[in-house]
Amino acid sequence: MAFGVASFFGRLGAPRGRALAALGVGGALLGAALLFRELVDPRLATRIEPSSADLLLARGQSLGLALVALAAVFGSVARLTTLRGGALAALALATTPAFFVHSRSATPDMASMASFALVMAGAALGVAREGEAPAVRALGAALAAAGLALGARRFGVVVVGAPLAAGAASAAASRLGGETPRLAWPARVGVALGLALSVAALVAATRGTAAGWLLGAGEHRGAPATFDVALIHVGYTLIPWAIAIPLAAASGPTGAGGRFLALASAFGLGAHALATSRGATSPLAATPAVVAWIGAALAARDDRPRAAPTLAGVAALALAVVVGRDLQASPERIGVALGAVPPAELSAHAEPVVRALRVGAAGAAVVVVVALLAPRVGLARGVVAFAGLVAIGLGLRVAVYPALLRRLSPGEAYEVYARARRPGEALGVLGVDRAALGGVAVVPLTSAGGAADWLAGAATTRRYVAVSRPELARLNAEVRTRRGGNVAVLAGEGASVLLAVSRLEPGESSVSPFDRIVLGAPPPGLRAAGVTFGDRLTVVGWRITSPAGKPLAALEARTPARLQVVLRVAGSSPLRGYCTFLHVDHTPVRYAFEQRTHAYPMDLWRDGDVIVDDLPVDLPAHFGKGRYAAHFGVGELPCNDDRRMPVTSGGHDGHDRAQLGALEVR
Amino acid sequence: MNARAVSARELAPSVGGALLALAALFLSLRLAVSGVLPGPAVALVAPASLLTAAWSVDRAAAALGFTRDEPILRKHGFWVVAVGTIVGLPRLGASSLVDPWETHYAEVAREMIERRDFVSPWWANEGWFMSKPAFTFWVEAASMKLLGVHTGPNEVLASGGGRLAHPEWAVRFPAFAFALVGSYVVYAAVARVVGRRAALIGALVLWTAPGFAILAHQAITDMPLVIGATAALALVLVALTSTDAERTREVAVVLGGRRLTLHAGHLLAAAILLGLGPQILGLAAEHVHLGGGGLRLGAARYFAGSPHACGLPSQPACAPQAFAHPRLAPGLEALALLPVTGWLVLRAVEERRVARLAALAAWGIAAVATMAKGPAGLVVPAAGALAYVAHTRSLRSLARLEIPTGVVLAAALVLPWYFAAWARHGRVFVDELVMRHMLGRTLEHLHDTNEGEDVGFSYVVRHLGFATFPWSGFVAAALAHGLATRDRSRRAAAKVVMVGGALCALALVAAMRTKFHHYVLIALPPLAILTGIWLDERVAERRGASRLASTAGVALASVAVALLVARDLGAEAGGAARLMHLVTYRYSRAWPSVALYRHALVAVGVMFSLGALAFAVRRARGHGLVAAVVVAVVAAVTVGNDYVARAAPDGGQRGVFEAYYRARGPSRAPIVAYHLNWKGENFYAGNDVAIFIASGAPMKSWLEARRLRGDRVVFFVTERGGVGGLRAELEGVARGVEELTDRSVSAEFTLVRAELGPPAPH
Repeated sequence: MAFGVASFFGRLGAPRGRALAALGVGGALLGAALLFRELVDPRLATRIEPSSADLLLARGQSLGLALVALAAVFGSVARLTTLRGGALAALALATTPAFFVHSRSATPDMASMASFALVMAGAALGVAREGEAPAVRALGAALAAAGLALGARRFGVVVVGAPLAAGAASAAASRLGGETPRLAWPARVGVALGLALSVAALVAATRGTAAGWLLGAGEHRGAPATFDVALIHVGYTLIPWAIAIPLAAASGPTGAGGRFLALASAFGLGAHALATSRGATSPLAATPAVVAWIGAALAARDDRPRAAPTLAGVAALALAVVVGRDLQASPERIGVALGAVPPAELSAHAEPVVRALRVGAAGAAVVVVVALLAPRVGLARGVVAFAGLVAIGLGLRVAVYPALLRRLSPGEAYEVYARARRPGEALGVLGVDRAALGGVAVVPLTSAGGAADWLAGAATTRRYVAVSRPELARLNAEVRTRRGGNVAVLAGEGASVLLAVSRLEPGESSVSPFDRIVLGAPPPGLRAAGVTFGDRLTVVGWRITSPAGKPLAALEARTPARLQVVLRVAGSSPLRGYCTFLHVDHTPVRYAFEQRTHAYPMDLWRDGDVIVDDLPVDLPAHFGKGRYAAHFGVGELPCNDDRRMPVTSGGHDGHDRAQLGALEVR
Repeated sequence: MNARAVSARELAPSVGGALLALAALFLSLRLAVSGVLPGPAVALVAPASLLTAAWSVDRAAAALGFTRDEPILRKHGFWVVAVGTIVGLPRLGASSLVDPWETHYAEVAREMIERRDFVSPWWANEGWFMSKPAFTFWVEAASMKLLGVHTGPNEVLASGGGRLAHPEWAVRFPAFAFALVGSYVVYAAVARVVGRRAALIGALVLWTAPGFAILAHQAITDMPLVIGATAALALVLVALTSTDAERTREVAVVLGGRRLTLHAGHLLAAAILLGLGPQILGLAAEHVHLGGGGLRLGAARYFAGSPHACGLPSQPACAPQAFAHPRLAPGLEALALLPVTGWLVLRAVEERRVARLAALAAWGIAAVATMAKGPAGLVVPAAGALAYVAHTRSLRSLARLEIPTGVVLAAALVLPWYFAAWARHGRVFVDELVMRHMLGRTLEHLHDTNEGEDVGFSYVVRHLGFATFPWSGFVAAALAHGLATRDRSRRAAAKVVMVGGALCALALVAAMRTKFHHYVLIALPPLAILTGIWLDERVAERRGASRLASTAGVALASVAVALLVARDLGAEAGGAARLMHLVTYRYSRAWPSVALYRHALVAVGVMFSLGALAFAVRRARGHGLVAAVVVAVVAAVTVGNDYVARAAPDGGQRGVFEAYYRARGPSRAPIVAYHLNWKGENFYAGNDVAIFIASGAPMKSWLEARRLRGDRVVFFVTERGGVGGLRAELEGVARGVEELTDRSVSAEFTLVRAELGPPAPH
């Protein structure tokens, strides 16, 4: 890495080049130090890392593979284009969120990237360019073989071998276009191999279930995704580099190097689309090719004093806006870089990451436009754009992703436990991988009921449970059944793993998210309602609040708010197959919101519980100032029609909707 | 400048031939609507008439000196018309309207005729229809009226002699006509700037893209928007690349000794009159009322409710309505429009500069696109112009776009209906149409059916991939190539304008929170034209080994993309239905009748790929392209004429209503729409339908009332999944319940006959 940085900046000339080279080397060393700290820090263990007897060793393997991938990308791009292109491509890869997350995690994704990168290097040296010396071709063959040996079995020949097909296509294109009068025999072998691989891909495409060795190990997971699936992974995981894709596309597949990299990207992403039906697929395999393509395109910009095509800049801006908006709309998209974290769990922690990624994408677009389209730029255009994108990528890498990984880890829960425990006070785990706690002695708990019993089992000492967020609701319900109150939570309010405790000590307070949702008695300040649905749910009252929870007397036009409906539950059987909904009537079209999944699931609502159903009121612009009738109801899932739990008493409108009253919009 | 003089006698054969051929087309369509002319005969006669008309018009244009005098088969433009016609026309109306969108709009248009109200769209039980502007309904209503559709209650499928009518021909013809005329305008504009071959390839890519071919068969608001915005974009291109020294050609027609000098400005003036005249007349006619033994003038008035259906369950009552803004009388609007129209017509007649005329035409067409669906009709062409400004880094070219006059023209075309509707309905109209359905759909997630599908930026890529199959890979390559445009040639200008329009459309759709698959189709025509230009350049490529090799590489990558898309279309689970999903609403709906297409679509991908592989070979490039075009044309003709016709009954109610009318015979046994709100039930019944979206006690009471009136049989139309619930509800109410239609009639809908039995003795 340090060599790459130095060789790149060194070309700027003294003394600026030397200063920048020193800066680059220093930065690389700092990065290495950070990486090492992260490698040995068990608090950064997350659910994306499968159980492993020795976490450090598994992470070390990932780091080693990351270095292999970097070297392979550097070598292949440098050989096909320029040293500078190679350095840029490698540095771009190193500052890609997906790459740095997996380079320090015990996940299989880095193996997929490394094997792909090795085959890419092999194809680059062995096939893609005419006139290579036999020794170089032999080295290429060895690298490709190594890459295939490393990843083909697990990730599929079609995926890992896609660069070979790209090399073959590139060589064939060279011959077909008349660039090369006659292909040398190694290139012909490569073309034959690539052709064989393409046929294999076709076979795999048509016989998806029988193509394990082609598309990778693992279970067949039903219908394959559509051809564009790889774009999703590229678009969100390669920020900030993804924003430069239109520029790379506009550069076209020029020259043998550019052509090979463009084809390797296209074939790699296509192979991934073919393989998405398999369980062991890594969405990130083709990342090295795409980033190498972008890096090489930026490096090529240095040789062209003219501004880049305007439309490419416009497309980069548009892409930044769209990607940013996508992330805002569905924050779980950040999870593409993280592998197996459930979307719901990610959404809870995604906001700061999404904000940072949106800023990063916008910054990348500004960098691309200013550096590449401005009439005059002091330094070489590619250098400026590259430096800007590296800075953004590093910022995301250092400041954003480690914070997210911490929130996904049980680290905070464990630290609070370690501080609060007295001798003999044990820690149980529910829904949390024991390996993520780095060898700490814990009591494994397999069910929420068992955990509730275990918590209640100690008379004099306290007991703690590190519980995953999805399990907390069930644990809470079990605890409520036993003692009538919510389970106390000491730590982890914003994290994936929370620390529940059997009782609170003086001076401690619970941070349970359910303390605001599941109550023993209705809160004060409600507007009365008194409507009962199916003799199971009684609307005790309601109130409107700001999004932060501050009570409001009226709504402000075009300002989001919340409407909290307080329900008392009766009956012992679980409430399943229902949603709740809010209608705010307006002629001719009402505002409607269906709460299909509740923060505290409906099937856990027990007799006597008082539930605060928090519904968003985000009235569209056509709700001007005035008073609007609000109705609340309980619908039958999927809540797309008028099937509802009947109103059995209280004021309703004849359509089984409780009449809450008028909402005033000011 | 002396105009070329042509005598009326010289023109008579071609003009007469064109008129005769158009009359034959009109007659064949009328006979098709009435069911007199059988489907195969219409499929031959209508396209033949249209192509004869096109040939005659070309002869007339050649006589006037507008086009070259050469054999018709050597005319690039004729092939655009020919391919469009054989893809779009032969079986245009041979199948059911597809619920819900085609039937929504057809029902609104039908109600316009029945209610004699062209300002306030109405859709049965849901009252005022305020989610789209009125233009599409106007043209559908006009087409229904001209082609003889009976729009009254229980008359839509009625015809003489026991035949069933085919109103679908009339409802869909405007969409096809827009597609054909629009694609020709795009071809002609691009041919002028870039060249005939590039324009022809682009137009062929457009017509052979399944997204466009199927959309040309759909009576929805999108075709006027999609092709209108692109035609405007192409005319903007002409305006930007023409100098003010370029003047339009004049011709003098000698008629009865008088010399009549004509030029393109007259055509534009006529188009302006055609756009504004009916609006002025319509607004003025609101003050003319029938009654008291004749016509009389009075204050404008309007009514809510669907005539003949006011008393039916769930149908709103018929009642006079008050104007929200009574001072804004329609007559005043008409008066205000008169001088504006006059000024615009004079302005057009006096204009000779090609650039200015093209710009004004662009404004007019963009306004029509806006009248059909919304502001995207203006935004997309504007984006093309702005991309050109950004590319040239000069604002000078904007002067040729006639912005002040264009804004007046667009406002005159678009705003009268908005004002008229606002005067009637007030703020509700603005809130609903503008705030909710135009802005709201863009900024907020209102409602769509994309459950389980990623709706990020890849959504547009995915559905464009299907919509442009098998050209998908070439389209991506052409867009990438367009992004790299640097020079200032006319060809470059074409690429810049098309890339600008396409990027704007793609970004707009990708950023919208409410998405449907067909939203992406607005990007399809500019991308098709870009593809045409790119392919044309590649075919002309002779030198530069590196460039030739790059083209070969791109061709190989395009093969991979085409095969990947083919694999998705050939997927066992709903692969072939993806094409139908491009234009329909509920993506979970099964289209079993087109499942057999999945192998055919894979075969198309493979055969097209063979052509594309040949394209990669330097010396076979032209042949490879021809082979690819032939495969694509054959595929598009099949998709347009067979795929759509097979699919439509799966999601349409025509078959069910045919069964209803057969089963009820001469009796007046009523039909109930049970848990159904798709609007096909309203259209095909002429809205003589009792609607129970929520059933229960109200339905039982109504059935009891029917029984007391002596009705013995009631029919129900419902979704197949609703039959079980219906049977349960009818238990104890009906003596016999029988499902009359199976999946071969409609996969989605079914007809149920219930025997009520005699009234209980008192």
